Amino acid sequence: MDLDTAVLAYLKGELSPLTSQKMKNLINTKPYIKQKVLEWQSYMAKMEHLSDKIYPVPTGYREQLIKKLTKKNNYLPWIGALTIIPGLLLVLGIRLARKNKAA
Amino acid sequence: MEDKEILEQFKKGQEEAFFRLLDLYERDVYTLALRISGNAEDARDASQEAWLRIYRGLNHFRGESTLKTWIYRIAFNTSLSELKKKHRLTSLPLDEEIIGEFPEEYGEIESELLNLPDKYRSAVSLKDIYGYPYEEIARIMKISLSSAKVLVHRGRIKLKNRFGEAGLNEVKKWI
Repeated sequence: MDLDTAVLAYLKGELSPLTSQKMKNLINTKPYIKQKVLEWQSYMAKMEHLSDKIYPVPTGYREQLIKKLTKKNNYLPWIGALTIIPGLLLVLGIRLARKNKAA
Repeated sequence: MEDKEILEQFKKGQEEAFFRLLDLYERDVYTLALRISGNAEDARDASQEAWLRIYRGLNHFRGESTLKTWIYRIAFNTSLSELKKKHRLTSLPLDEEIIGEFPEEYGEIESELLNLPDKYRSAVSLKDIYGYPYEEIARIMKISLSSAKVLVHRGRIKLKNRFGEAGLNEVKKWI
């Protein structure tokens, strides 16, 4: 485990009580480790700040989404229509042919 | 109205329930897509594609997780696949650094995150903003567990170094 990972694990309370105590002693005696702790504390505060942030959607977002939804969901009736119309034309053609034959 | 109630109404064919769901999670899904895509335009497209998938899949949702978790997972998966698609089309490497494009409207801290190379930004966002375990990050990003750990670690170091003094005033308001 490198120093950055160890410091972060210490700050997140992920170390065992014994390792955590050793880390605490090191922080109190080694200024460069203390500096690392301050840097990661700042990092964690910034990430926490981001986790609370939610941005509004851009203007016209909902309208555009509804258009996409409508487009995606309208293809089924069209497929249905395209299947039925040739069928109807075929039936009509057969009827006309029979009528002509009878005449 | 609770998620469960919304889901029941949607399954009964009441389509307006979907819009209630949009009211609840639209901004979360957009924000999440922004953090994966790295810019507003791609985030809009990716989050809308996610909503189309959510709409299509809602009737088949079996309740193995909460609705929110399911929505987030779809949003992450869609945003990441849209990102990969974009990289394939433009031949941009996933670790390309974006320099000097700071979207000021999001504030200094978010801007630093958004300007991080794509793979690090995605991994760090999943871990440190959304709190996903490494196993889930590996699954979502379709990488090995060890790669997920490496990406998070390197991403954190890069971001910490980029943060520097950035956003100190922003954080002071919160502490």
